[in-house]
Amino acid sequence: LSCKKILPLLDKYLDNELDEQQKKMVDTHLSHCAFCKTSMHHLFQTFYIVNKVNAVDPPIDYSKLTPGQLSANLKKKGLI
Amino acid sequence: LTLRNQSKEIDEQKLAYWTEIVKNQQKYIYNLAYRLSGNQYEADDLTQETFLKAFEHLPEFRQEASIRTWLSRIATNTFLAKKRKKTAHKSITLEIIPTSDSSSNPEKVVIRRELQWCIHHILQQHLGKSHSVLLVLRDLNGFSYNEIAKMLNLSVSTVKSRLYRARKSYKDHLIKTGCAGLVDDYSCYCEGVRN
Repeated sequence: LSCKKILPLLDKYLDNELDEQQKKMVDTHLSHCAFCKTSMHHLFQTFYIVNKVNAVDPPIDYSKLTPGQLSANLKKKGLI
Repeated sequence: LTLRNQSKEIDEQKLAYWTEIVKNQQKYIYNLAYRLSGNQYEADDLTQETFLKAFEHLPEFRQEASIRTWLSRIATNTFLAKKRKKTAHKSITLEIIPTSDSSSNPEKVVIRRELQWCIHHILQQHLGKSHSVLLVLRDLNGFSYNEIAKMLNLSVSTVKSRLYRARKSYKDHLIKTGCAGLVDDYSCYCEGVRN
C-alpha cells in the first residue's frame, strides 16, 4: 500500500480504532517504510514524552482558598 | 430557626464537598490550564476561575460525566471564551516552569525542557486555537472523541477531522522548527520511551 493510503490510518492506529486486518496492514507498511515510521514517531513521541514527565505542581494549594477568596482574587484582576 | 439551621448545614456540606474536589483535582486542572494557555499566570487564573464556576454550578453536576471531565469542560470553555474576547492583543509569553523531574541525567533534563518548550511554542504560536485545544484535550489529556465533542459542542466527526488536520499541522511544524531532531536525541537517552 502507498504512504498516501497509510497516513490517514495512523491516527486511528494509535487510537486503537483499526480492526485486526487494517492494523496488520499498517504494521507491515511501517516495518519497511522509513518515512511513515518517522512521521508517526515524531508526532506521538513528543506527546508521549511530555505526558510522561510534564506534571507541574500548582503554585498554591487551591483547596485552602474559599470560593469567596477566589471570587475576590479574580475580581481584583478584572477577570470576572 | 430549624430551616435556617438546615440550610446552613447544606451550605457547609456543599463547601466540604467542593473543597474535597479541589484538593483531588487541582493538579490535573492546573496542568490542563497550563497546557491550554502556555503560561503559568494564565494557568493560575484559569484554575481559580474553573473552581469558582464549579462551586457556583455544583448543584448542576449530574454525575453523567466524571468530575474531572466536567471540570475540564469548564476550564476549556472558559479558556476559549476568554481567547475569543481578547484576540485583538495577543500576549502569549512562553516560559519553562520547573517540572518534577526525577531523572539524574542532566543532558536528558535539558532536552526534555527544550522539547517542552517546542511543544508549547508550536501549540501557542503556530497552530490555531481550535487545533491546539484539540491536541491538548486528546493527545495530552487523553479525552475520548465523545467527551471532546460534548465539551466543545461539536459532532464527533468534526472532532476527528479537525484533529487529523491538527496533528498533521503539528507534525509539520515540529519538523520545520527543527524540534523533531530533539525527539530523536531524547530517545537516545530515554529510559522506557519506546522507539
